[in-house]
Amino acid sequence: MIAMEFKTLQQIYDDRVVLDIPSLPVERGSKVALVGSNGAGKTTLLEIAALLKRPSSGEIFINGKQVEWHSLDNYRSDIAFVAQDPYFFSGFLNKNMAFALTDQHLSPDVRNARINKYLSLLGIEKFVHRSPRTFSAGELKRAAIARALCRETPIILLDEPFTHIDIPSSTILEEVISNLPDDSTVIFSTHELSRANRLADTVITLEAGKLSPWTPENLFRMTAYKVDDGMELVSNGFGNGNSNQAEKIAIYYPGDLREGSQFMVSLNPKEVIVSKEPVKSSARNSYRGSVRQIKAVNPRSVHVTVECPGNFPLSAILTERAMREFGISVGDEVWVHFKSSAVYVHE
Amino acid sequence: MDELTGQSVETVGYLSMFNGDILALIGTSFNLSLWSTSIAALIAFPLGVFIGLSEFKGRRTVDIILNTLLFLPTVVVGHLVYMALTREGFLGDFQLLFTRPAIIIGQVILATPIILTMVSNTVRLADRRIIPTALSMGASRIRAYLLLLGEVRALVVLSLLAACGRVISEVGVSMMLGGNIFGKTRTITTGIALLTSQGEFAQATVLGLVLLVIVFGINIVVYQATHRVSA
Repeated sequence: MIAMEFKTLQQIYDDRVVLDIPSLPVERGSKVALVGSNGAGKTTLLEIAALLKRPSSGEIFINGKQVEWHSLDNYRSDIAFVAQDPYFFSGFLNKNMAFALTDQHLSPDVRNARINKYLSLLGIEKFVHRSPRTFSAGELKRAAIARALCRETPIILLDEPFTHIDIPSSTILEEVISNLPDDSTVIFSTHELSRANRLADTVITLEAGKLSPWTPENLFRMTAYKVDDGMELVSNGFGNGNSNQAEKIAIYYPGDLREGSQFMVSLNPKEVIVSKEPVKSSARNSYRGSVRQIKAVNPRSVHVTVECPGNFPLSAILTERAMREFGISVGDEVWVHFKSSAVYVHE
Repeated sequence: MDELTGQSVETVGYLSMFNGDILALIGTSFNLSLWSTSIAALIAFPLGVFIGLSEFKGRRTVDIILNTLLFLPTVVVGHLVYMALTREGFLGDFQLLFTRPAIIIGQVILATPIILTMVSNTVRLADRRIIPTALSMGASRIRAYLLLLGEVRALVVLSLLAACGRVISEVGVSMMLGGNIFGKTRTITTGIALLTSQGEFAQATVLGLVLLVIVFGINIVVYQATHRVSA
């Protein structure tokens, strides 16, 4: 079941398209991480999802119903949103929490129990009779998340919940997000890919307002040069298109690109093969490198970073079982291979 | 000098005889001021929020017009409303001239630009996160606007005080539209004007002092209330 869906969504500011999403369905109960560089459109997408910003064009569906922008109150009751820089009304924290529950018409006992539950969950119960304006950045973030979660809405949107907070606070937040009810749909933005992989079922990459099919592990700025049967994408700062030069990486790309232009190039880490020996295959791109890092993504998958010529890091996601069978460890010399069809050029 | 001393003694004497006539003038003044300030607030609050939050062509022109209206001479307002309320005027059928509602109409015209200008500027400078935060917490748009006004209440109250101060101290509108009828439309200020014209300087001074003391008292109460809530 789809909890939220965006169709042909576009946000345009001063003739500049800042968000362009043809289709983005979000499954009910899923945890979705939005990753991407600054200005990629993460906050804009979350604000539109929170129905705080009307898109220039496109449609939003919540629980299968198309959002009608002239009567938003019914839809907003299903959504909790925490802004990157949350605002607190004057008064104590309990007043702010109580305000978040006003539209739910709860009895005072139920309301207070709910408030105490989420304050304890976020470890800020002792701040209940303090003004949030006296809180530290980490305390503010936790208070804002407690305020949003106490609404117990089916959809929870968190914009950069892990910024400006210390390690204990981020650990608490991670635990809270991980332990949210199974039917809660969570969309959060973050710059930290490892955290996104750890917490989310789905990681969505936004790049210049567009959905990128790949996560930014293998996102590079490269220059295109013509070769006999296509294009060669050369990592910036290295070489000049001549693939025989050392200390650079050149990726074969079958499409047609403007010679000498720079492009953002991404490579799906799930389509990168790692082997201990060179493999004869149809994969056009093969490189030798050494394993720099191995990190568990989840109990079943492992994230392997291989340093290729010119300190070029290529990431691959392998199953935990494959890792054990091949016996790959940090510092090993390995080969990485991928087909040219795994290369995506952001034109 | 002797004359001045004599007047002061006389003033103190009148103060000690705080009588029903003075109370009637105070009552009329406050009744009219509260009505006109309240009606002006009802008009100016929503408009002020709209102007403060909106980006529209010609907003600068609106600002200039509003700022100009702050300096509206009371006699000009009195004159214009008088023309509208006379038998030949477009509101003549209502027979409002020399009644309290006539004064209220004129005072609303004086008070509205004050509240409107102060509220729109306050809202414009208020934290931009207030409305989205309220909406994301399930508030309706009207409730979000009320919350916004609540967050900047000290300045909103100040706008009400400024408007109230303007209308309680004006003479032109009350004199021209009310006719200075004792027990009906005579206010503290028109009373002072009448007493002064009759040479009753001591009584006029008493009324002036009474007005100042009352306004001072209200200011203290409002200041305490807004600062206690804001704390």
